[in-house]
Amino acid sequence: MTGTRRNLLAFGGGAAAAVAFTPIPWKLLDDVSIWTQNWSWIPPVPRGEITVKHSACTMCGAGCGVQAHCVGGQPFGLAPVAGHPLSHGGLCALAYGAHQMPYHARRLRKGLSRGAEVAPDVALAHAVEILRDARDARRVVAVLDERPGRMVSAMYARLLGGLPGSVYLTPPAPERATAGILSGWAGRPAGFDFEKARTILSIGTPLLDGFGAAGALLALWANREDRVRFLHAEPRQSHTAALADRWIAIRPGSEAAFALGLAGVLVRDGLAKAPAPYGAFSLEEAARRTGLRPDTILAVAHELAGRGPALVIGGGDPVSGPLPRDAEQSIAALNVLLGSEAVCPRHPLPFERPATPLLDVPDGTISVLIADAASNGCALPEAVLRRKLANNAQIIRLSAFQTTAARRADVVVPVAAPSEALEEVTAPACNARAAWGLAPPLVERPEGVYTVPEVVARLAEGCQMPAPGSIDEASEAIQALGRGSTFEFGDASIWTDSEDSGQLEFAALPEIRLEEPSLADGFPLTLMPAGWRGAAAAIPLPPLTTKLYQESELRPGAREARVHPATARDLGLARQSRATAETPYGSAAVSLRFDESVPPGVVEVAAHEDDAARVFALCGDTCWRSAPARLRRS
Amino acid sequence: MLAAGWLLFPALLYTSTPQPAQFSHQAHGEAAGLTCDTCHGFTAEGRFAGIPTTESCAGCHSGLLGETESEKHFFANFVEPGREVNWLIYSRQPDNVRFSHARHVQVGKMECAECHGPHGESESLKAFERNRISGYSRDIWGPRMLRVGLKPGQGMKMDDCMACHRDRQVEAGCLGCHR
Repeated sequence: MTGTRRNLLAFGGGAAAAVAFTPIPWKLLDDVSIWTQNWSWIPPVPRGEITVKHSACTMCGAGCGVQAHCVGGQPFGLAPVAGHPLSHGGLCALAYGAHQMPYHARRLRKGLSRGAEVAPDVALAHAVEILRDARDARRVVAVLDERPGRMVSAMYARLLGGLPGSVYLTPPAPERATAGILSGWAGRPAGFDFEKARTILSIGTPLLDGFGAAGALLALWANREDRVRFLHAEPRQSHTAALADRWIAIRPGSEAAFALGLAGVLVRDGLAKAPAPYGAFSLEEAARRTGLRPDTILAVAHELAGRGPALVIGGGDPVSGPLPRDAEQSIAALNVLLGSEAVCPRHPLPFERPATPLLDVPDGTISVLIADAASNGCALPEAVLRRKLANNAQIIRLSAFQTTAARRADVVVPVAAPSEALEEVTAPACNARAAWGLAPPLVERPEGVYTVPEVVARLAEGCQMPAPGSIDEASEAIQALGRGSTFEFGDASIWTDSEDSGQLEFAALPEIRLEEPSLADGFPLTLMPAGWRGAAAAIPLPPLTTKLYQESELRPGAREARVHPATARDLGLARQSRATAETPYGSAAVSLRFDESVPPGVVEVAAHEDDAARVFALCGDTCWRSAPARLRRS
Repeated sequence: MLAAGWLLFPALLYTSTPQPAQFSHQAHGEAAGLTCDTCHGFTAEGRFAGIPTTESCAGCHSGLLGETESEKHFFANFVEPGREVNWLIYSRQPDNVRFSHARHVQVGKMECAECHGPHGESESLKAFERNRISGYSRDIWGPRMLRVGLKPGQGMKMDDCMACHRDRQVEAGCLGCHR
């Protein structure tokens, strides 16, 4: 062979083609990917004897038990606890990464005062000053507690007791929605006994994907055999819809119409066990609004009545917020009509204080807001919160992380992150049986960082108010009850009430008026924020969960909008193209994904961590569930 | 290029290092009345003890028992001075992997050879072939570059773990093995 240019090119081309038939590219790809795990700046996982510590996850209010696998006392992984009365041997994705939270990149070890870093004690002194001024000026102080029912919640309530006109608030949570309405109608706390139910219908609520304690309902679902059937009504084929025995694909925003349609059938066919004011709501009207066939609504209603006890649960989801009031009431009323034995009285914990729903507070009335650090895993848009604040209101936030909400607060007092301090856990608010336990810390908290009870005590002290107590009181109060059972696991334990639940009696149901959907000219689509528990909550996601949305795309990540391929085709939009989502309240750039589980005409925009504020802004400042929308090619 | 890819590349990819001491599993096996778990056993708490310490070897070899050069070398360099042997471990996994021998051997009733191959019958310790890029042993990838037709005990990649779990219908989530 001569060294001509042609031969050289032929040799190069042949070699390039041949290399694909050798192990070189494939083996190199594998080895290099492993090599990237060994970079010097990646902290190595310690090796050594593995020990186990027991505690509970405090990433949300579900109270799941965890066992931490540790090397040298340092947890490197969490696992569920078999037989735990709340979590039933299950954990959600958030809990699996809870031990990483003390080392989160956004971990706050100093205080913030008007955005500037200050020492923790300086931040606390500033908070005391704000509270003292508010008390002297007799302005309205509010505490926002995402996990009411704890002893520390009672401490907040006692603190507010020394501040005339103050209000103790809780934001909406799916677990409190239906149970809360039923409690109001019964005049006493109500909860669900899932074990008693033979048919469970969830309407717009991710019952099998982040509702209450993840393991409890999934264990019930996995072992259901013929004992219990799960029905799920939702516009999209969500995780819960995919797992349910039957998915009823209703139109977006037609949850109330669906519930009223079911109620209409129960009344018309003599299946209702309580008088109802809405027998006139016809099957045909319900079918027209929901997009279902009348016989589908008929079959579901008959299944609920014929396979009792049945439970019907609403409450929206952790990211896109509560369902409209008419929908929540219609759903709760179904339980009364069905005379469900799975809806039971709930005996509150001895130190539990009633909280006012945040959305019931008149707009522009709160002068000082103290936001607790605990998260319930649900989103609460800043605009919705701000709407309740008076002009020049001040926000004191207790936080372990530098989140968007923390950056916008007047003062941030740094507190222990999950796994860093002894924390209380309670049963999810929907559970008929109350529970209480303490989650021992897994790691030491950084110097200077406070615990929440310490901050409440210091606020009271600074305002010359009586000491608000301590969480030690809780165990004494529970022991004094002289009932219930304690589940012990390692050095942790949880007490569960054993009081017989009995029956609830309801007053006459109120008349439920169906709100007409508002239409906006020029906005033919419906925008719906989407996400998963914790994706847009008060505390950031554990680093471990990046696997879910960045690497595997099992969950939506930031700036993603999912549409049905038919919707995109009608609008002339290409897969993975850039687009602008517009609503009457604003616009945002999104990256399009095609997803056949999204109903035609709907744009699902992922609400994710800091980017969530941008998505919620598209829905206005009263609701964050949906908004009329259009999509424009960028 | 084909020849370079199949012959030269593997030769360049791995470095070969002899073990710091020699050891005959064959001589210490049935002939000596020992089994794998005599040396690689479980503690009273059920934890896998891993590679035996020099002290445990000295339990039998308090003096020279034979006349082989390897035993003399081992005795002079490790037993007498009480030094640990820095064994090069063929099956070492990345730091983000955890593996419970107790769960696989005691609960799953697996034989050592199902993962480790006929290592327990070897007459001498083969050289440790370290991958220049990843740093792990060639035994993790397995002896064949194409990873086709591997026998049980050849290869310890995640694929091999998953194939075995699939065959035995034993579920394991990501965090069952990764930390």
